[in-house]
Parts: sequence; C-alpha cells; structure tokens
Amino acid sequence: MTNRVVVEALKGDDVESALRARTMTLPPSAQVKVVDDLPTPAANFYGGLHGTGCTFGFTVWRYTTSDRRVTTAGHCGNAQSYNGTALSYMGDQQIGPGHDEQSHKMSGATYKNWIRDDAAGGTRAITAKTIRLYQNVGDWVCHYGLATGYGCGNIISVASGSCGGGGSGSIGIRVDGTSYDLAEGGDSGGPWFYNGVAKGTTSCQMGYDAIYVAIDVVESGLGATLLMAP
Amino acid sequence: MNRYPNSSRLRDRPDVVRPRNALFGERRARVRAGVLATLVLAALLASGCGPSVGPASVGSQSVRSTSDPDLVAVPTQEPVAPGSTSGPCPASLARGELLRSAEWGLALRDEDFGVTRVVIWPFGYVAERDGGRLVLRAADGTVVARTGDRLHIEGGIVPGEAFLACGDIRVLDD
Repeated sequence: MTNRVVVEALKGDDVESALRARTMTLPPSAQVKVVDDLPTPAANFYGGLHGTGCTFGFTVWRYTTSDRRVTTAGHCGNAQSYNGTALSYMGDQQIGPGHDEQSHKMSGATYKNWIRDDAAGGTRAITAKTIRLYQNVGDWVCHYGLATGYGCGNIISVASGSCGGGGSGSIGIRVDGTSYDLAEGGDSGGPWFYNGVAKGTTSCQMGYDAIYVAIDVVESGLGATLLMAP
Repeated sequence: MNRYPNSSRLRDRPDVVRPRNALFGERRARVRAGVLATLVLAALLASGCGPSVGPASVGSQSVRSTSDPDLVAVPTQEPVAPGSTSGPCPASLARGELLRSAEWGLALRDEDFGVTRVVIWPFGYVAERDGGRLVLRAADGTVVARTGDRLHIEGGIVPGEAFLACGDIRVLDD
C-alpha cells in the first residue's frame, strides 16, 4: 500500500495559480481532482442553538420528513449563520398578525429532534407538542434562549400580542417572569417546552415576561410540521 | 450529548425554581430603563404601526426637523399614549458601531450581518453635534452613545431591514 495526496478543487478553480500565490508546490505523485462540491464537516443542527442575534427554535419538516429545517423568529435577520456557517433562508418568513417565524437550512447538517436547553449545551429530545388551544393560563412552561439561558414560568395570558408585526394578532402566549428573567435581546426564536413537549418559540420581551408564538401557529405559518422523532 | 429525559423532567418542575443571580438584578435596572421604549412600542402595536411599518414610512412620519443647528433629527417611534402600560418588544439583538448617516442622522453598522441599518430609536431620542462626533441622547437628555461606540440594541428587524430599538440600548465595553 502506498500513500498518496489527492487535492480536491472546485470546477473552475485555478489550482496552479493558488499554489504559486502561496509559494507551494505539489509532489509529482499528487493528484488534483476536480469536484462539484467540497466536503463540509457534518454537524448536528437543531433548536436552541445560537443564531445571529437570535436563537433557533425547533426542527420542522415540510413535504417529507427528510426535508428538514430549523425555525427562528420572523423578526430576526434572514441571513442567519450558525457557528460560522452561513445558513440558507427558506423564504418563508411570517410576520403577519399573530405570526413570528421563519426557517433555515444548513448544508451538510444532520437535523435532530433535539433542543439545546441549557448554557452548558445540554439537549433534550422533542417527542410531542401542545397546540395553542390546549395551552392554558397557569400552565408551567420552560424555555431556552441565548441571552437568558434556561428559565420557566406560568402562563398568564393566551391572548397577547406577538412581535412579528402587522398588528398583534392577540394569540401570543405570555409567561410570567417573576421567577426568572424570561426574555432579553437574543432570545427571539428560542424554544418553549415542558419535558419533551414543544410549546412554541419566543417572540417578545415585556419586562421580565416573555411572549411566545404557539408551536401550531409556527407550523401553520411555515407550512411545516414539528419533527418529533429522530 | 443528549441529556436523559428524567433529568429534564426534574429541572422543569415548578418547585425547583432557581433564584435569580446578580446579573438578573442588573438586568432589572436595564429593563426599567427600557420601559419608555416598550411603552412606545405598545402604542405602535396598538395603532397598527409597529414592526410592520417599513422604514421609509416610519422615517417620514417620525423624523422631526429641528431648527437647533446642534441637533440632528433621527427616526424615532411614536410617543406613548398617556396611561399606556408597558408593551411588548421583539427579543432579538443587534450589535455594531454607531455611525453618522447622511440619510438617517445615525445608523448602525450591524457587525453580525455586515450591513448598515437605520435604527428606529425610542421616542424623544435625538442626535447632537459634539465636536466631530454625534451624541445620541435619550428623551431625558441622558447620553446613550456617541458615534464610534459599539452598541448592543435589543428589539427586532422590521420590513426594510431597519432595526426597531425598543429594549435595552447600551454601549459595549471592548
């Protein structure tokens, strides 16, 4: 068995010039292989991870379960990135009354039905959801966001204005921030949950309180379905 | 990396609430400072002129001309209706350098997105000439920032890629 060097270059790349510019040469035995795409490191992608000025919410799928993307708030910038990798915006931003969602894909990523749920990077699997109709004042719900981290509180309203714009819509779910500071800048889009049950994604801060958009509202806005299995 | 469900269940229970740490106390002060801004947004939302309003119309409605040669008009939100309560504010974040803008008085060089954005400031904010720089002042006259400062602004992006500044606004220590 012999060792050999294979340099992969994209179609149209001028490998010789690039090497000269770096005063490098390849050994005669090296092979330059022209490829359509360069390999990218595989990465898991899921809700709760930190985006650009916002937090990702949940993994959803559209058309087929293999067509996966990750949500964030609609009022966040469309040009999101994760860990230095630019994401593809799916062109599905919803900022009409009651809505505040959009979704993104990451090339080469493995999408999980997980959410990050603490500052240390811990995760949990999402296996169920509660639609808005079955979320009630007094329910205890928890969240994760890049600014405030993990926190929980009681729902104090299921008819609050959300922050997508176009009027309030008055279907946002407000959570009491007495026990935790539940929302600050950067938390938008982050997941709300209890155990492994998805509840919604952060839209607004209101003092220490947070307002989130229910998961079924997010799904309907994106025409997508929450991923609840690996 | 995936945590076991049982530990998650324990942590979510209402009887294991963690106390706020000192940082959260500090945040309380900042939230109070931002109450005016959230009140302004409440008025915006109530009037249907919240984040759905594009920057052009916001600018034309709220950039007030001034006869004071030291003051520079900047786009601001509408005033708060008397008796209004604290309103919701989008919980996203923009960071970047405060710049002088010929069009908007001040703008933000958004370091995360690599673009220059108009910022729709809370009602009452003005820019004031101070030597070669502009000073951003809050409605009560407090100096918020100067051009060249790196800012942390909470709020949300509205159609037209403007940033609605309705939460905490502060200079980042570099």
